[in-house]
Amino acid sequence: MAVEARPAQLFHRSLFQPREPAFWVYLVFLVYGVIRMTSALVELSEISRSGWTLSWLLLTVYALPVFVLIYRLDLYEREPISLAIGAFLWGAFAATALSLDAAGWDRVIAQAFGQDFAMRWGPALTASLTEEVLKGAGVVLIYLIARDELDDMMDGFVYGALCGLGFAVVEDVLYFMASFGGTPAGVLRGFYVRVLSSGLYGHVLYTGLTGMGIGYFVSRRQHESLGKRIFVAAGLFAVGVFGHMLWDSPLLNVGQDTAGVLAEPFLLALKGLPLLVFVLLAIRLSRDRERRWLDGALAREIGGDGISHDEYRTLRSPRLRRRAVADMRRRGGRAAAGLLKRLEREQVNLAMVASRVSAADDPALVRQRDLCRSLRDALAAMPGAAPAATDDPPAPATGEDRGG
Amino acid sequence: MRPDEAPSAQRTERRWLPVVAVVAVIVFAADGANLVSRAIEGPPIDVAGVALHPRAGWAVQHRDDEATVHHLLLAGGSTALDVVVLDGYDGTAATLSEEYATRVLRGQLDRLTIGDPETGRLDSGTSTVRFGYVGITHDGLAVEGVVTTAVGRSGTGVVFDGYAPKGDLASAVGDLAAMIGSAEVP
Repeated sequence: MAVEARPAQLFHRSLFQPREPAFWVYLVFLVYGVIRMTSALVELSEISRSGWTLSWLLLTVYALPVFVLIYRLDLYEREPISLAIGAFLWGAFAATALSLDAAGWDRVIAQAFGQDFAMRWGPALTASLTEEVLKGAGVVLIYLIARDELDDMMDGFVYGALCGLGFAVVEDVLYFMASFGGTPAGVLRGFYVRVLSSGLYGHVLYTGLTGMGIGYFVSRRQHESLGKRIFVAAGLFAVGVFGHMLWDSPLLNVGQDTAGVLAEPFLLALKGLPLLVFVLLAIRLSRDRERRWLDGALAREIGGDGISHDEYRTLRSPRLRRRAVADMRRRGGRAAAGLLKRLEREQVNLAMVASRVSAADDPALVRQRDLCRSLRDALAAMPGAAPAATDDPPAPATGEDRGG
Repeated sequence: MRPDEAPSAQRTERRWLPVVAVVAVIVFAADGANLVSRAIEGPPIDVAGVALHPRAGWAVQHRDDEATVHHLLLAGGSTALDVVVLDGYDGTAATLSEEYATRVLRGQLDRLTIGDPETGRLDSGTSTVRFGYVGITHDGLAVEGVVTTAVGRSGTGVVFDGYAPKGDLASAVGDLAAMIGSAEVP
């Protein structure tokens, strides 16, 4: 069997799905957002070109590693990069533009409760809800475009957090230019207050929680009742909105007017830390659940053609996987390291197939085992790679099996 | 009819329904405020015969009436709209705008810069003159504003002065234009 042969259901779907109505809806709102936000951002650049450039530079330096960190959170099944970028772009352009349109809700609050109340509480009551709804809608659209790619809570967190990151980047540029004066000094001050002091607690977390709720709702159909799924999804969304509301509200502005620049991060942490702890706990629980899923799905496969005991031990631990790939690169070169990474990816896919079929001799499962075996054989045939390919003796390889 | 036609139709419906629901949620979140505010909008405000329709979020902050000069201050967020109504004004919208700039704005603002006047019309067809300005209040706040003047058929002169701290006016331009445009001047 050639290594290229893959079970059809394991192909990762990209963002570009012209047959899906959700794709066109996504595209229309994204184009609208790009046009609206580009014109707003270009207008702001006239305040100070150098401040504007510095804003993007600083935010790129901040956002790039955060993007990579979020993207790598999913231990076993990295999301298709086009979908990850799609979530980021939705947050950056569509959600920000639509949130500007939603500013009228502040006026409704003023109309209903008076100007003074609206000045004090308007942003907390309206922005938290509308912005979370609009960012969450992006995660739902991503799901509707590629339903197979959002199959647990962690996937939901990844898409939600990336969407929140995109939103935070563009919103920060708007704040730096409009509220912090737009000069390089103002931008640096804005970066200190909005990113360095509070960057950990913002949109990434709020929308990450919403995404987790969506992930839970769509992936637990066969295991949980509709009522429970709605309760969990709505609960996580509400926690995200509440965290956002708390952040925008004047409730916990303890001493911020009088605090020095150095004390500011600590005061901001007062507002954001509980939510950060909650999200870290949720991620931890979600990861434990992913590991249990991997253990259960591969229980029948360990020691077989698809995955050896040692490979399984390595696969379970991101640290061991990184070490194995680095070791392979040192011994067998980049091509061998790439092949080992592909073997690990296909072994995760083996777990996915094993969890979807009931018979041990299901053709899809057999095909996936063969694919893993052929990749292992190909790896074993590479100079310098053989010793670390597996500690279990690989099955005899045929020439055809080394097709990859 | 093909045997698979009905399930296929069901599948199409299932693909569309959630998408339609998401679009509805997005549109309501982004634009629903206008619907809601119209639903809870109050009655028009009458200032010496001039009818004003405040937009959602705009509230009366101050009002006083002298013999022939009537004053109303509306506020919406950080933006304010001063409405001054003059009974029996015998000039034009252009002279009223010059007088307002000279007698009122120059007295209230330092380093006043006034833009070129433009002519226009209210929704009712009444001619207007409009100009923008920037200046600094005596306590050091930089403000920007737009003055619109009109004189009705019965000689009622009216000045609409919308202003905000510098940088804030842009977000309220739509509301100001709507309230001024829909004003009815006798």
